[in-house]
Amino acid sequence: MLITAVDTAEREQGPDRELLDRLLAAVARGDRDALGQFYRLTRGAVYAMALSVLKNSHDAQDVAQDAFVTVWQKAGSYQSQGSPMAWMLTVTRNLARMKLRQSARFGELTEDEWNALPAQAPNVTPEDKAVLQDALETLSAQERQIVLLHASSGLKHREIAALLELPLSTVLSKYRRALEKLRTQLEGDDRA
Amino acid sequence: MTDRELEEMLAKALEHAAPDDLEGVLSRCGERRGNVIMLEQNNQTVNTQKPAKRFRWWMGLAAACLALVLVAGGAAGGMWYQSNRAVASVISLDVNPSIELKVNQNERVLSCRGVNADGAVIMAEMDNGRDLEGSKLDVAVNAIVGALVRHGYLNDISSAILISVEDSNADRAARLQAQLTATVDGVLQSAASQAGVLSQNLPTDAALDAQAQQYGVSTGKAALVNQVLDLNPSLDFEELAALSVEELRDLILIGAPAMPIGREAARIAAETYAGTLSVDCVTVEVDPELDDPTPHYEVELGGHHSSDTFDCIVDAFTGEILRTSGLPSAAGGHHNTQSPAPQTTPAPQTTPAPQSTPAPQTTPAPQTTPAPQATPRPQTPAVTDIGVDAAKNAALTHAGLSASQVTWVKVERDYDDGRLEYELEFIYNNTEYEYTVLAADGSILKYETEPVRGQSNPVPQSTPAPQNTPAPATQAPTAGTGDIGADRAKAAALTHAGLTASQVSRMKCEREYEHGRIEYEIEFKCNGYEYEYTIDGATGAVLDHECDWDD
Repeated sequence: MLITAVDTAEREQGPDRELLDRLLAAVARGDRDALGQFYRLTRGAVYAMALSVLKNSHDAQDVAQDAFVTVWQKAGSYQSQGSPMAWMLTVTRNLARMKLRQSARFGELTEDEWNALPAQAPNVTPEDKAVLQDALETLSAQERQIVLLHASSGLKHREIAALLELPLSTVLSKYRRALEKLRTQLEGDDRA
Repeated sequence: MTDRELEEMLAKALEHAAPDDLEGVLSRCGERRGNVIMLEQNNQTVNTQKPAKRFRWWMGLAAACLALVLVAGGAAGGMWYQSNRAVASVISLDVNPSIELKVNQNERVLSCRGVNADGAVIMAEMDNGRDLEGSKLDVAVNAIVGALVRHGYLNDISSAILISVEDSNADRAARLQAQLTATVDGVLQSAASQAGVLSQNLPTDAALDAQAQQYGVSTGKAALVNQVLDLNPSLDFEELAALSVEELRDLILIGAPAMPIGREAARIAAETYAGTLSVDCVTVEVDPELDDPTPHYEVELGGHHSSDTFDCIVDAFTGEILRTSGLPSAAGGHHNTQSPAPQTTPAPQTTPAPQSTPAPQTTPAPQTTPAPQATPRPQTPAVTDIGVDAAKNAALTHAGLSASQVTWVKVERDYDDGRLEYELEFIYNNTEYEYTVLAADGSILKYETEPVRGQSNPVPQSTPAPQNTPAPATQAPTAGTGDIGADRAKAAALTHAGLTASQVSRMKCEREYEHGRIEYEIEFKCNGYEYEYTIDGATGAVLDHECDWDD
C-alpha cells in the first residue's frame, strides 16, 4: 500500500544512470575528463551525503574531495549494478564515517553546532541559505538525510532505504513528514 | 509549494553550497594505489597482474595427466576433462565458518568442503559437501548461505560474509563475483538478514594458497588477513586468521591499530566481571563492534529466566569492561569484586569536551580510573539497553501476541533522536507490525500496522488489541486508545473534503500509533488533487490535512 503511494511520487531526477556508468568506465581507464564530468554531475549529492553524516560543512567538503579521489583510485573495481550514484554515495558515506571516527565525534554534534554552509560560498543565495538552514533546524537527523539525498541524488526511495539500511516504510514516512515540516517552516519564513 | 518545487529548491541549494573544486580533486588524482574494501560494495579486485599463463599451463598439465588415466583417453577425453572435471574457479565463503567450493568451467560444483571446524559442521548437513557435487554453483551457494543463516551466523546486522572467487580468468572471476554477490544478497534478503556482503576476486596465487593451507583458512580469508597485515605488519597472521570476517572487515576500516582480544576473551571477561561462572549464566551472544567509535565486544549473558539478561561492553583491545546494563540479580553479589567497570556513560548527546585530546579515544572519555566501588550495579543512566529480547517481548506484549505466532522481519537497534531505540517489524496474520521501542526501558515509542503488501484489507480490523500493556509502564497508550475504525476515519476525511467515496480514487488508509494515540493517515485523489488527512483514531477529529496538486 505504502509502496504504491511512493511510486507515484517517484520521478526522474538527478543525473542519468547510464551516463554515470559510462563515465565511471572511462574513469577506470584513466580518463580525467570523465572524472571532471562525473564530478559535476554528482558533487551536490556527494556533498549532501557527507553533510548529512558529518553535520559540518568544512568536514563535508574534505570528505567530498576524498570521495572523488577514491573514485579515481577505485573506479576499476566498480561493477555496474544499475546504480552508480548509490555506489558513489556508499563510498562517500564510508569515508564520512571514517572521518567521524578520526575526529572522535560520532554524530554527537548538538543541533546548535550544525553548520551546513561553507564559510565562503559565493553561489549560495539567501533562498538557498534559508532552505538549508530550515532543513537543518527543523528536521531530525534521519529526515534530513533522506530528504537531502532524495532531492540531490535522483535515487529512488527504495535505493535510499538500502543505502541508509532502513526499512522502506521508514524512509517513506520520514520523507513525507520531513517535506511537510520543511514546507511549513519555509512558508512561515515567507510570512515573517 | 509542491513537493517537487521544494525538492528542487533543496537540490539547488546543495548544488550551490557543495564545493566546486575539480582542480583540487584532479591535483590528487595521480597514480592509482591501494586496495581498500569498500563496505557493501562487493567489489574488491586484488592485484590482477598475477600470471594467468602459469595457470593455463597447470590446467593443461592437469588435463593431460587425467587424460592418460581416463579409459577413453585421447584428445576428446582431454577436452571432456577440461570442461567437466578440471577446476576452473575456487570459491570460498567466509563468515566464521569457512567453506570452499571448486567448480568447473560450466560452473558445476566439483567438490565442496568446510575449511575450518565451523565450516565442517555446516557441510555435515550436506553429507560433507557431497550433496552439492554436480549442482550449479549458484544453487550450492544458495544452500550454503541458507544453512549459515539457519545456524545464526548471519543474523546480526553487523555480521558479514566474504565471497572470494579465485580464478585466472579475470573476466570469468568478475562475472562470478557479481553473480554470487547477487545470489547471496537474495538469500539474505529473503531471510531478512541484514548482514553485509563483501566480495573479492583473486588471481590464482600459489603462495597465497600455500599460506591459506598452512593456517587452515580459505584463500579468500588469507587475502583479507593480508590486507590487515598491510595496514599493521606487527600483527600476527595466525591470530588474525582466527577472527571472523566481520572482525577483519572492521579492523581494516579502522586501520588495524592493534590486535583485538577476540570473541572468546571478551566472553570470559564479561562472565568474570559478572561473576556468572558461579551463577550458572551462559553467554547468549558476543557481537564484535570494532568499527564503533570505541571498538568493543558486546557480550550478552542470560540466566535461567529470559528476563535475566546482562549486556556487557568489553573494550576490544584491552578487555576492560566499559559499561554494563541489566545485571542479573543473582550475580549482583559477585561481579563487583572482579573487574569493576568505570563509570562510563558514553553520553552521546553531550558535546565532546576538549578538542585537544588525541584521536584514538572516541566517546567522551570514560573516567578511566577503574573505580572499584561497592555499589553493586554500575550506573549507566543515559545509555542503558534492555537488550533485543526484552525489546521484542515489549512489542509482542503490546500487540498481544506471542513469539511463536509471528515472523520477524526486522530487528534493528538504532540511535535516533538522541536515544537508543529498537526498530522492530514482524508479521502476523497478513499484517505487518512496526514498533519503535525505547532501549532504555522498553517503552513503546511508536507502532504502526499495515497489511502485508498485496493484501486487500487496508486496515487490519483483527489487529490484536493493544490494551494489555503490562510491560512498558511509561508511554503505554492509555488515554485516547478508543478506535473509531478505518471506515469512520475515511468518512471523516471525506466529509471534511466535501466529497463522497464514489468521487475519489486510490484511497489509502493507514493506522498508526503516534503522539500517544491512534491516528489514521488517509490519502485519496480527486480531480487531479491529492488529499492527505490525519484523523484522530479515538474521536474522528481532523488533526491535519492537505490538498495538493497531484504532480
